Amino acid sequence: MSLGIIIIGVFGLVTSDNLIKKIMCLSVIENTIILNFIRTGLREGAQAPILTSPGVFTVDPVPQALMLTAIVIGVCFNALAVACIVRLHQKTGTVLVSEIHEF
Amino acid sequence: MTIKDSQIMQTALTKLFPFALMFSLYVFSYGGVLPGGGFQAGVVIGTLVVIIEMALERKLYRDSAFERIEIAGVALLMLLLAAGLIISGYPFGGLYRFKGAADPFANIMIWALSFGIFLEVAGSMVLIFRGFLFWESEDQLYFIIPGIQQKSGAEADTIKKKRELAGITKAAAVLLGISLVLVIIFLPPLETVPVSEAETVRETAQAYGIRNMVSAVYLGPRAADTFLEVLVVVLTVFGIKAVRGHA
Repeated sequence: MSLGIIIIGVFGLVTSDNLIKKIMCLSVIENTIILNFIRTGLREGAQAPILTSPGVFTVDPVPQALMLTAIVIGVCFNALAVACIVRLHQKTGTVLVSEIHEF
Repeated sequence: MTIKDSQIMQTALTKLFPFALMFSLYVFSYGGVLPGGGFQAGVVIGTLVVIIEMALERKLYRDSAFERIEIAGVALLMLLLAAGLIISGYPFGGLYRFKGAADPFANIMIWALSFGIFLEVAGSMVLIFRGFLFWESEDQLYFIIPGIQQKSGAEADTIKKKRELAGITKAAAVLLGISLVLVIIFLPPLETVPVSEAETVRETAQAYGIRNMVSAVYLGPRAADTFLEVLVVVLTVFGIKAVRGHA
């Protein structure tokens, strides 16, 4: 399942000409990886990692905490990438890779 | 018609403001007990400020105010890092290295850590969005819609070179994909995290009365990660400013 989504992301990354679309494909791949990590902490019949009563059976909280960090890093990455694209657009007047001739 | 012209949006946003503020503070202060924490509360309050600025089409506060908030958050985190190192010998006090269930230091620590992250994330969110919102006049925003880009004259040889480059890139991507599939087929299945690790986290969380185990992990054993990640957010703000340049 996640392999399929990653393949979709890589395909879009390679074939799209628009830089904005490339960033969107990178986000797709990143979110797939996050889903995959959270899946590793999954256990059958477990509840959310909130200890409402002692001895409650919960999922593993460690991947969730790690992925919380990864999500914030992803937001930062996207913001910086889009800022770079905006600057590039100011400089060259286009966001298509095939139309950028000089920097 | 923009949001500014709409009476409904204006009224709704101004009436919503106190409730959203209250929700943010609730998410922040109950971070150790319920789902939530410093990150989430900071993002809520940051986006709230951004939405209101978009609706009113003017800045609520100066950029320097949010920069000060951000720097205060980072300074608080650094102070906590140093304090934890001095008092207990672990960064951020280790939170779980103390003996005894009712240690007040750990409770103060988790709250102060959340507060530092809250300040930092709230300031950064506003600054990052402002980097885009007040970029240029509105007629420059068309680049978001694909297909309306300006065309410029292209020479034949550069196009040919680009096609060759694109062919190489596609070949590399195909090779990468094949190797990815091979790796996934021949690699042993993903190991699940041993249950004992989660059990340790649960025991320590129960010992300190922290009910949200995710908070317990990212403020406790992984506090150094959280701190570095906060630094990445700060670096992003500076990076966007640098990329933006004198535009």
